[in-house]
Amino acid sequence: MQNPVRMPHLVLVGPESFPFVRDVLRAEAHRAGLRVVEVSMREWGSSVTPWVEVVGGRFRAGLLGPWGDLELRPEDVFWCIAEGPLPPAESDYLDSEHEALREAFHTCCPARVINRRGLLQPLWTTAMWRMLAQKLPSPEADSVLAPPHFHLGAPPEDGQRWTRWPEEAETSMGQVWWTVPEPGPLRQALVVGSHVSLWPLEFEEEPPMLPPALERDLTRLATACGADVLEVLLVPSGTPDAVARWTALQLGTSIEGLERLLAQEDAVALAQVERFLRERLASREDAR
Amino acid sequence: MILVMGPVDELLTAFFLKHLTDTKREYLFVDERHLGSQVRLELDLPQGPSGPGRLRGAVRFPTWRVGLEEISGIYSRLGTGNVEQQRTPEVRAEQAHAAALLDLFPGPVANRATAMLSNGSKPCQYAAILAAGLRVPDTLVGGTWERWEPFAKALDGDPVIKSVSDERSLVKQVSWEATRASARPGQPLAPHQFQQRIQGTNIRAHVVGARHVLACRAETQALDYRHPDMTGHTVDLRATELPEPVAEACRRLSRALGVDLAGIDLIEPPGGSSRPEDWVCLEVNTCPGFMWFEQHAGLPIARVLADFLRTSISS
Repeated sequence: MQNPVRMPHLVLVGPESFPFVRDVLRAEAHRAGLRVVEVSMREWGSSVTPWVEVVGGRFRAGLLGPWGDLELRPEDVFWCIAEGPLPPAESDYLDSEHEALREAFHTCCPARVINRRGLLQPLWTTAMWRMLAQKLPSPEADSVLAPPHFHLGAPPEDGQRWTRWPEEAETSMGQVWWTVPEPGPLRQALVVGSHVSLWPLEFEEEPPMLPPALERDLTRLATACGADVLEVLLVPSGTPDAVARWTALQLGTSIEGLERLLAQEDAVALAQVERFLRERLASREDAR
Repeated sequence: MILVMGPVDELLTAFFLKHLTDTKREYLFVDERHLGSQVRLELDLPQGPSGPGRLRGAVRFPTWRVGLEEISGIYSRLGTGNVEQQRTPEVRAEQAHAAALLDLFPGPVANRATAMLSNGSKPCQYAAILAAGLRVPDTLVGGTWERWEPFAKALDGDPVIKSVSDERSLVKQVSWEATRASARPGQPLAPHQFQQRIQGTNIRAHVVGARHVLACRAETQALDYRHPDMTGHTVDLRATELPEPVAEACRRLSRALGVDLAGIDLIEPPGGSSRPEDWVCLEVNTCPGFMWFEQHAGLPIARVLADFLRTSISS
């Protein structure tokens, strides 16, 4: 892979579960002149392994795979869309070492990374309910987006309808309950870079409007979470005189909602993701 | 009062509890083994503006409770001491609630569960270390022999090998021949961390509240001063003052990693220097066992930590 004039790469991990998103990524990479390298979830950590080097305070990182050694440079783009547990090693000690190397790669990779993972990124290490509790409402006085009312322990007997938060693998085994005052219809927001869209998840006579204050709060939330692409389940809620008019019920780093919209040939979602990719594949500003 | 959580028979937990008792501080202790049986945590986070008063709740014992509003700060040694415990759903739930409390509590916490994770992969800390103005050792993790060879050839002497994760390992120096013998052509090397051996003096700096820096010098011939007995060497720990720019870099680093109690492993260059960029930071221990340093170097870490955990939220 060492050419005299090296073509920049778009390296995707786990794209096989999202074929419609993958098609857009391939097309935009082709348009931007990037060579696409796809690593399946099965290959990631088995036949494709990362390395990390720091010399003189400068990070280098790359992937060893069937193609040889591919170093990822600042002109490359890396997106780990999905990853699973690593294949078991010969010992618990080596399991930890492989896991630590993978985290090091995510954190230190000098390429332009979309939805950077790693141990310094709470979105990948913290239960989602706690992300909502910690990041919302934003400290700015004009915030309109709130988390639900959370309760840990036995559910309160206060007449409200409390729902058990789903267990999140490896990040939460707690008895977490949530409730929302006067919830409206369920909607999904898609934050892709600086672009936000809002979709109904229940039948509504009119497509929902995205108020500027909510758009601003969703962008703030994604930034606070360190996410470039973030799906947010939310409902309009609360009494008309309440400050917070919207409640975020769940955060999603998987792009299932985006995949579904692209599968339905949704022109708005397609334009949103194309615009983001054109900016990101052309830009150099996120490179470390 | 200070809330302390951990196994009662774990050395540092017992040491800190004794300090609190001896200095007549008010504290509440939760033995890790009682979480999910005799002790339960109740946390409530209603909708409303963000701020110190939002989190409500209590530590509940069979016949009494202590409200969170009575707690000024938290010291956690949860997960240390190799506690053997049946992990029933109730126990797992309370452990998760304890982790949530550490992250959500608005006052000082040493340390928050999420902030402690960075130590799980040493290179993950390097970006923060470099941003704080300190150096990191030249390092290679993973890769093949073909990448290892030019890396190792550029080093001054044989490389040091250590774990990349937070698994405890004895730092060793490995020879070129031994590594070559274990390498398989074209295959990834075992994912250990190879580094330049850094000449200089080992310094451990404990930083409390990203403000107070308590440092000591470890004089030894051993490569890994934490295990001098395993290499037949002795170690002499002495309290020392860091040059202010280096101390400030340590504060910046603690703040960046979000840890209120950090054990920062530094190497002072031969001849000394007050420039942070001349000092190498090997890693930041996010759950530091400070007792050894306190007892041998006379550093008042427990007192400074207890003072910090009594700091009111508004100050």
